[in-house]
Amino acid sequence: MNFMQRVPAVDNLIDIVDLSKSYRRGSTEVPIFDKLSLSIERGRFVALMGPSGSGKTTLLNLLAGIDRPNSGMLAVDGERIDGYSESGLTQWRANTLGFIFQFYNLMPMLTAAQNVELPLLLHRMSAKERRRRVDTALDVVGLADRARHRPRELSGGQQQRVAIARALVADPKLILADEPTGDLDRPSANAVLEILRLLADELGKTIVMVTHDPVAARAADLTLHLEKGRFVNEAVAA
Amino acid sequence: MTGSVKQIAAVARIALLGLPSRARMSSATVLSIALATLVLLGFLAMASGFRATVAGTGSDQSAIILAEGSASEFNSAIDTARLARLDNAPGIAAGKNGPLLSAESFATISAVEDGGGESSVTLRGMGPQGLAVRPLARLAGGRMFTPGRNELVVGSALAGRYRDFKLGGSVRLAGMMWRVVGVFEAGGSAMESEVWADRKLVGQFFGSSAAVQSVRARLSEASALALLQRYLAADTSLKLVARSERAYFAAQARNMGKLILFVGWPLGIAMAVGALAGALNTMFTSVSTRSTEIATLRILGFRGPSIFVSTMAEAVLLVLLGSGLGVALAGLFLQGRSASTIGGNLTQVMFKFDLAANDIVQAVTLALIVGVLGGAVPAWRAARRPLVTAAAE
Repeated sequence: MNFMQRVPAVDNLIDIVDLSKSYRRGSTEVPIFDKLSLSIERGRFVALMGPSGSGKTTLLNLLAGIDRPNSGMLAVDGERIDGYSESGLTQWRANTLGFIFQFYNLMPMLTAAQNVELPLLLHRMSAKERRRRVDTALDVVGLADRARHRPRELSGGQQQRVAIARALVADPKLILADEPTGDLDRPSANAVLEILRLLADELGKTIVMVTHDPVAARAADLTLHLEKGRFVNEAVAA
Repeated sequence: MTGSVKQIAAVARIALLGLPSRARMSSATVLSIALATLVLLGFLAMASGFRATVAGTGSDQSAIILAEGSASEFNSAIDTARLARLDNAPGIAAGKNGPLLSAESFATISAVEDGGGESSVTLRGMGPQGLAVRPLARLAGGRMFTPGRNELVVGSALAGRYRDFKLGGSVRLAGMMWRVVGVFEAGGSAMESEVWADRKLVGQFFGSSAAVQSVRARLSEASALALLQRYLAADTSLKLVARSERAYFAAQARNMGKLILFVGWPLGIAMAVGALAGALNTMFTSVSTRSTEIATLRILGFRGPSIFVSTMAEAVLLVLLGSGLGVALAGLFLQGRSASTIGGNLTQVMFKFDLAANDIVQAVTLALIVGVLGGAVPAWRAARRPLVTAAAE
């Protein structure tokens, strides 16, 4: 990984150059980042850590196209998304992104398989192909036998694994995870981290994970620490 | 299925499958819509039933002659001097004892219903030809009254409902006893809500014997009405106008129907506005309850329009359920039910609620308007809310 690189490299999935973001609170402009730059190579599993208000969730939202920067360049897989419209970002997310939430955000009325299938409904694909992909994704997270279960019939760890399968099923280039182990006990958290590790190692997915948990961060290739909108150091996994 | 339709179907499915978790609010909306639909349908069915009853009262074979400028028998007065000049009018069918004409006046009397309640009923005084000038009427039991005697012939709608008007019974009117000697039918029309007696006695005991209110004439044929109208127009001293019985009652029905609707629609709309407030509240609550679900779907890549349409689908489904329930209740409790109202002449007209397809379409349309208005704003909000705000919740 080339942490402060300013020129997009061919093997980078994420390139951020001079990114600035601030929020208006009343009449005051509250800066979050000022000219932040970052590059992340393909297939890397990166953990983002930092105290509350350091900007890690804002950075994740910018990477997800949920929020937009005030200035600077933000490119994913060579595609600049900083100037995209709302509908352009929606389309981009459907094609490029898998997202894992802290509280799983599964649809309680749908089965595990139906939840996993949701992102596939945004693509032209036969029902047979959708079924095949759902089966594969559930198999990857070890829940093939829970396909017909609804979220309330699953443990927290299992629900998060279903959410990972949902993030994975459309074969996105980038997977973003917002505190994916924050609501889990240690064994369940470890199982989730193992799967994320596998996605990076075996399937070549690029993963950016926001976490407060140092143990979770150790599962990543690299941990970036944010403080007051700046990277203060990085730690490469042993 | 195209991508957009698949998206809408998927999001709508999620919204609708989640309805049981919002059962209380959703049920309240369904019930308020059902109530608004029921009330509106009640008035529409009442107007339809009243119109059908009164409009069915008239025949083209019969004419009604009123004083010029009178909209109804109620405010018409024809003195006996003018009456005599009608004997030679053209277009009137001939009977055994001369032209088929019946000079008539009416009064309002009180009668006791089977249940003990008292209400106003039309007592129509008529000539001996009174039955013959009415092609729709026939005796269903007993006989016609004898001129000069205190005898009554009652419409079948009254005979079935008033203890005072049973065949063979007697009733005290104007301080004298009157005997019910006959019951007549008139095709379920408003005529069946009348009591008939000798016109001279009615004039003597209940009003003025120097004038009548209308003259009923049996036409030689339907087209003979024009002859009669020309004759009356040519003699300006008569100051009388004729119209077919059917046209006369159709106009009366329109006026009363309009009056019912004049009350019914505003009330229905007022209730619909109340239901709209309920629907808005329900949909805002639904969108609020589903905010995480909606934000998640949008983050996954589901587009705003599919969120909008699916939220609208929920609102429309609720109003369809509500209006369907309202229609079912109206069909169950109103359709064919007998009712009575005070007619244009301040007397009682009995009729049946008639739930017409057009009435149902109007009531369901109003409910759908409520659903679209009640769903649109929350749906728009759900689809357009900044994602970063929604995701933070």
